[in-house]
Amino acid sequence: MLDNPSAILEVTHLTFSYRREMPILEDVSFSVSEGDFAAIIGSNGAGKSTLLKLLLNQLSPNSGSVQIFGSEVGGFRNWSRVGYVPQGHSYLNSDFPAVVEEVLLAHQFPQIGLFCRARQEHRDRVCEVLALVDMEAYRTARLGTLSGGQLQRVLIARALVNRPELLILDEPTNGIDVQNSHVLYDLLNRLNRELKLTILMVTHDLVHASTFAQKIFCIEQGNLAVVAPEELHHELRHRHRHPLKEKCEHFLTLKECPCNFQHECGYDCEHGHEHDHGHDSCHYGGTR
Amino acid sequence: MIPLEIFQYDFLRNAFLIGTLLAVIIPCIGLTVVLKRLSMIGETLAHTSLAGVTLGLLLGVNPTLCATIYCIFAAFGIELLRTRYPQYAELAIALILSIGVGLTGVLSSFVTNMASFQQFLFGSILTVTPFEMWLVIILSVVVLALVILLYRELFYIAFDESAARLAGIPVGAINTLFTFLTAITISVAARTVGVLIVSSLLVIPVATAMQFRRSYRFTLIFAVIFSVIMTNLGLYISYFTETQPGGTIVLLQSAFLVVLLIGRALRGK
Repeated sequence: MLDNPSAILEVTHLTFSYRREMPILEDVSFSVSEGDFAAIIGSNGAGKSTLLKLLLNQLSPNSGSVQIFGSEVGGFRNWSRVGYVPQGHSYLNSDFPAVVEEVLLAHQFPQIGLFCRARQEHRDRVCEVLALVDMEAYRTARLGTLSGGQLQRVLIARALVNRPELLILDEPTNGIDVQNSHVLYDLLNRLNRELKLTILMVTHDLVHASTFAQKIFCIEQGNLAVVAPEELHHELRHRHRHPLKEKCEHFLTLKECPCNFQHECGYDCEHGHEHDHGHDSCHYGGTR
Repeated sequence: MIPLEIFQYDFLRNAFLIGTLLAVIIPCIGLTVVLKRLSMIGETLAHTSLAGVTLGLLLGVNPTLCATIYCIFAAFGIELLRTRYPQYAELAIALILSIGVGLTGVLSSFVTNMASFQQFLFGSILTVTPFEMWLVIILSVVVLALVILLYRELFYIAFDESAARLAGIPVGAINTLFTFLTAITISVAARTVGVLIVSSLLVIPVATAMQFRRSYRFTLIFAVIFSVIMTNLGLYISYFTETQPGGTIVLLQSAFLVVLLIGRALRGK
């Protein structure tokens, strides 16, 4: 059973290494509750993609556990409850001879399987999700004719076609221009608010993550820190020139602080990690 | 007036029947093979089947049966190596091809009946035995059933294997079944149309259909229709020109593809 009843994804003390001497993830714990819009940030090679693979049961942890919808991920079978949008669209062969509708129909397994052929209701569902991502005009378009942003929306539609409760995205705006990134994040925000879809995405886009996500998990050197959106916002405003790696290391230092207010902000501003005189808590929510 | 007297001969009627059945199932297998970036698997399995043929000739066992069994092992070898080198599927093919050809080279030095060995190199659709004919008929039914029943699953695995797995499709089981049928189809086709050209029959119809840049369904149906027409036309022409049937079919298919490519290039200008 989950420790947190509203959590649909709970990771506890997860440790993983490809080689024994070099752990990729060390004692990582976090949870995603129903209706959350959560983001995982971290620099390249920090272990974000490895974490997603562990969540999707494509890798097995050395120790710790991943619980998804209340059951251990290794024994979880009901994957239609989880929608997954893989990293970038570039891994797909855009010259593949297929049209958008075929990709979406194929994903409706096991509704359409060996002895159940595609019916009108399945085609209607395809139209419905394509409308949701504003791609209804492209139902019969060949994959090779779509732009990167359009292909990414098709992949999101594919993940949505089985009515998942949890949507996991791996760097959804990778290789997509700013304009189309806005459109994509707006879409994800809409799905989260209107359909109450729980979203967990890995991203490098800190600006959008701090705007839309309610929970932010920062991974660096195998460790994970939970960061409040305001905290990230603050970091972006005052230290926007610092590399992502440095930002993440900073968040991890803050996490280690049990909040005896011994750290100064260092931002030269009023919103630091400093003692809020007259209160028993610090700016980051820690208490004495 | 089209001369139809050739249909009065039993062996020719059989050749047309077998040719048509193979023309239907080979592109069905070929489409998935091409889309999985394993185009050269036909060449490899066909050449590898020669090792089975030589083994059969040496042991006095039916060479087609021996070739089929050997091909199945080779195909699973490729599948196994493919998981070892996931980004280099062609490496698995090259390794198995080298082993097959090496084995054929060594074993063939012990074969005394070189005539039957040559029969396999270039095929002999006009001299198929009743056993081979039934093998083709049963195989065609099985492959067609698989392609129709697993249409969506095969499409999805070829398009995006990891997403197919997440969608709940039993990818491993379907891949195993498909590998098994690919091996049998290629070894049987190698016997009838020839080891040296079976891979062309596997890829040319698919390559032609893909030029139209349409849906998966269209590509599959077009490849099958194209293959059936060209096979029958090729068999028919080869009777009158007294040329080797397999080669005639492949040349016809290639000629159509070249005309199509030139036509598209001109229209593009």
